[in-house]
Amino acid sequence: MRTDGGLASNHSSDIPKDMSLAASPVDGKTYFLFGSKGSGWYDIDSASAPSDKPVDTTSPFHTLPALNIDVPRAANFNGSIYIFGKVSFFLECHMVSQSIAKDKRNVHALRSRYLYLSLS
Amino acid sequence: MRARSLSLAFISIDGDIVGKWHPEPPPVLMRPCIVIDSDNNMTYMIGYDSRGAIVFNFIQQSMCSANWASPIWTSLPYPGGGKKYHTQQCFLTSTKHFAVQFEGGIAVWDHWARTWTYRTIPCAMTYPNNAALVYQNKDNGVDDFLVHWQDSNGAHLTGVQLVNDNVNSCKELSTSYVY
Repeated sequence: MRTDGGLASNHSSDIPKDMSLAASPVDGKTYFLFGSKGSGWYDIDSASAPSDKPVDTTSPFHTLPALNIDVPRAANFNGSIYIFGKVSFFLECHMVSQSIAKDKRNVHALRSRYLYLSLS
Repeated sequence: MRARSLSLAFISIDGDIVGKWHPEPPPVLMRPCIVIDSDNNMTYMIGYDSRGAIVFNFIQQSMCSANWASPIWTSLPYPGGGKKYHTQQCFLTSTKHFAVQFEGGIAVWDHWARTWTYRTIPCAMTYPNNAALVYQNKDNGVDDFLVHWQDSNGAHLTGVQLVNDNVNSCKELSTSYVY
């Protein structure tokens, strides 16, 4: 485990920097981060009633492949997260499948769908 | 794989994406965010126009339908208070109100009362950041969202909880999970 040489309780050594997008399936159990330098998720625990501690992480950061897209946007639909972004003159769409959201053991199963759309 | 010069080429592997691309309807806003309230058949859109003025619109429609290509957006009072807005960070609260981030909190639009309410988040974080809803409970009006922000020390996650659109709590997560 990386420590960044610190002992502070809130050290953030395992959170990727420069993430351009965050998304969640709103099940209160998973939180995804996506970026050109890496992607991945935390298992989380969300308060279902008024609480002083809204959210807590319950796992280390699990990595997924980086998404090399510009201006990414996320949309939740039917239990999956779709990430749209621009690659050169094309619109690209990545999908974090429902199986990833529900069963995250296969960390390399981030699937991609490509919508080739000329933006010119 | 980028060699195709078609104006629209479409690939669907497992039939996950069906239907054809619909062009973005006007108005085209910069740094936009869109929220759909399917229960009330409403869509909200916020962003900045070409002159850099904040714009907040709605349309009484929640699906891509025949008139989606030429919808009549209605402008609404934009959030004010001399605050700096980050329009790309918006969401629909569990009370079905539109919420958008400003530096230090969120502004909440009650469409039926036609009011903006400004709620301070008493936790340190930087802007712009990435925020995402992680949990909603309509029965007790709870919204939990996470804010991913970074400073010179690195990246941070802060959890925020709304109860009936009021900020009930916020707390930075310890990510030094021991495993």
